Amino acid sequence: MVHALATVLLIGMLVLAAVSLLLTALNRRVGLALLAAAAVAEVGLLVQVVWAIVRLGSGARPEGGLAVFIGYLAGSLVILPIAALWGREERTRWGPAVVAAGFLVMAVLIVRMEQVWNG
Amino acid sequence: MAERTSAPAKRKTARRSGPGRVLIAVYGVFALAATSRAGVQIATKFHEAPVAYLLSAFAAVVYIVATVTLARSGRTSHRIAVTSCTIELVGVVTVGTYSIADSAAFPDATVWSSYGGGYGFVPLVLPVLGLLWLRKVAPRRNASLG
Repeated sequence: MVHALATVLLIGMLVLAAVSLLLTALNRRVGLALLAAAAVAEVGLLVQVVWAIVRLGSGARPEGGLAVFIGYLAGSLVILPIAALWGREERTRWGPAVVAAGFLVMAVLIVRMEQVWNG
Repeated sequence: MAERTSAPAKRKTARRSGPGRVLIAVYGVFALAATSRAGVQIATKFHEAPVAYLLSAFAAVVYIVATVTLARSGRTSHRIAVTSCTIELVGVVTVGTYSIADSAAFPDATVWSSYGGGYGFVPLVLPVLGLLWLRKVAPRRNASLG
């Protein structure tokens, strides 16, 4: 994995989770800005997945097991869109909280992917 | 950045509205994570720690049932959701204690080992929040249940 990209993504997810929770605290619902931020984060995750596929294609193997790693790769792309849509549907302060959960899960997933890649 | 909250959630879908939706989202993630983990463990190295992996699979099933019944309306779903959350709480406390007292019995971690410490203790907090939430949205005639 690209450590720098993973680090940027990790910090981004934590910041976005904090912002989402702040929106909940301020009694806001999910707005376009938060959805846009989630979309940008998703693009970053996509870059990471493509990079990982290229590395796997060139023979690199995750130390912690290929099956687990591929599972995390696939999971890393589906969580945020689901959280964003579900958060958008909930038209109360709890919408951003759902999105925050998605960002937090992504933060954990990014750390786990790094661990599995490096063994 | 975002619009103001409008009307409160409708009574009919109360269980999956508001905080309930956050709860279901987190439960869904745990259902997915526990199922995948148990699947990989049982498929690739079942003989190493059969008890731990079967427990993982059991936990996965409980999370799936809890996720589905929290999301569904109706009194039966409510009752099953309460049962699932209770099993989870008992499971995480029992397995957590057991895994610390006799670590040799658990050569590989399950989602409930060390009270869910490997998962930020979310497995310990989640059933408590689930039961509190279910009590709050309990069907009226079942008010004594929670």
